[in-house]
Amino acid sequence: MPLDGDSRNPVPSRNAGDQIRLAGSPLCQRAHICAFFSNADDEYRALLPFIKEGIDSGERAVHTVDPQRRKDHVNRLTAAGIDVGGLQRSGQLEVHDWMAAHLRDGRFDLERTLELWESFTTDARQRGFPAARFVAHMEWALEPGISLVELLKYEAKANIAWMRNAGRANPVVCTYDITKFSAEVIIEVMRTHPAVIIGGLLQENPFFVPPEEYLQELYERQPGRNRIAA
Amino acid sequence: MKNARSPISLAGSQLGEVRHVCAFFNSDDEEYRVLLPFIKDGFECGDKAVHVVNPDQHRDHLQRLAAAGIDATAAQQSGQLELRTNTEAYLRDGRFDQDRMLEVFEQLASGNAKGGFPLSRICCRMDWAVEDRSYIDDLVEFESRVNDVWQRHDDAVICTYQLGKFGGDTVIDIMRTHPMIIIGGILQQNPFFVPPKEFLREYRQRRARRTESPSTAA
Repeated sequence: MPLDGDSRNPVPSRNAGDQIRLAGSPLCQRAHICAFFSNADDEYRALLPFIKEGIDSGERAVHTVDPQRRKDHVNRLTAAGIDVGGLQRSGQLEVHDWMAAHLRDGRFDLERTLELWESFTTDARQRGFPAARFVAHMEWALEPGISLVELLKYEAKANIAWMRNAGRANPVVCTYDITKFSAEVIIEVMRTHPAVIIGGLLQENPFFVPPEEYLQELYERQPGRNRIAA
Repeated sequence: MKNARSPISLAGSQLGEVRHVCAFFNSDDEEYRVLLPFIKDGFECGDKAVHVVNPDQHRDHLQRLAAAGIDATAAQQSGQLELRTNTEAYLRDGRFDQDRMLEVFEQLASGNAKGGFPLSRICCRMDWAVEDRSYIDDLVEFESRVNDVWQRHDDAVICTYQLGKFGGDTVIDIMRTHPMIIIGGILQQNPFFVPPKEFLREYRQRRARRTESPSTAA
């Protein structure tokens, strides 16, 4: 069931007929996507066309990666024909370790991280990029000391921020290695994302819970266990 | 007038023609809160009930039925309720045999079952599979294959998965093998469902690759 624009959620366009494509479907305003993969080959098969398309359209690419996967990430971009060095020098591509993004000072601060994403978006706009496309590896959440509730609050609040930017989709893909996360985390993460990639295909997510409602639910109940790891 | 094809209320929505459901819960309380109305409706309208539960769950299960106003003793005596143990139902000699299980469900299904009930409402707790990785692998294949059985009959089949017991990769595979899904207590048509032929091809290739390189097995 591919995503379609409808009269309530018109597909944002850069030029007439332009659409962002990801994993075989056009995106509409549901620009916060969780992507579930069990291996890197599947992950990049789905993501590389999306990444390339953004770069080819002159959009900024902002990637926050696992420092241990950074080299592999850059190699895969290069193998796909992306001039990583040149684009980093020109400022069109930024590849950050998650130590500089989600885990500054070695800890996760929800509000600070949301502010960082706002500043990424503002910076891209101020420098004249038509949009920014984000890819974020999410296994930083497996670090000790990070609670499931914090992760879910973060994802839900990110929806509020993202939906405020209506009309200008800056798509964010949060990638989760499903072999590393518990079933509970996967299901709850799904409920905080309007769109999901499973089996390499993007689908609108019927289980998405609007952020205010989800935050209220979180407040009223603790998820059964706080276990994040599989 | 109710017939076997009338929509069935479940988890805030309705089951139409497609009635193979995977249901994900965070606790027993949540599971019963969501399923008891569906279970009770079934007794009241004369459907058969087949409940397949954990070995240590029989007493609690019967108590919960009683608390919901269901006379489980009478139902068992009349044959309207069959209460089974999942480890006995799914595992014989400690093995899960997919073909045998398909045959068991085929015999149980509405078109074949004796007993005069229009259809069965079947609820299965799937905890038994977490004992062994090979059980999970076979279960995922089985869940995909069994769609062909349920497609040809009127029964409503709810496979329940307690999230605390499974890993993320299992839950994604289970999601992709069921056309209907309950998450957060709400029933939805499942956009992630992959038709069995396609799913099995992909899954068997994946399993074969994993056997070739066990060091990278999840």
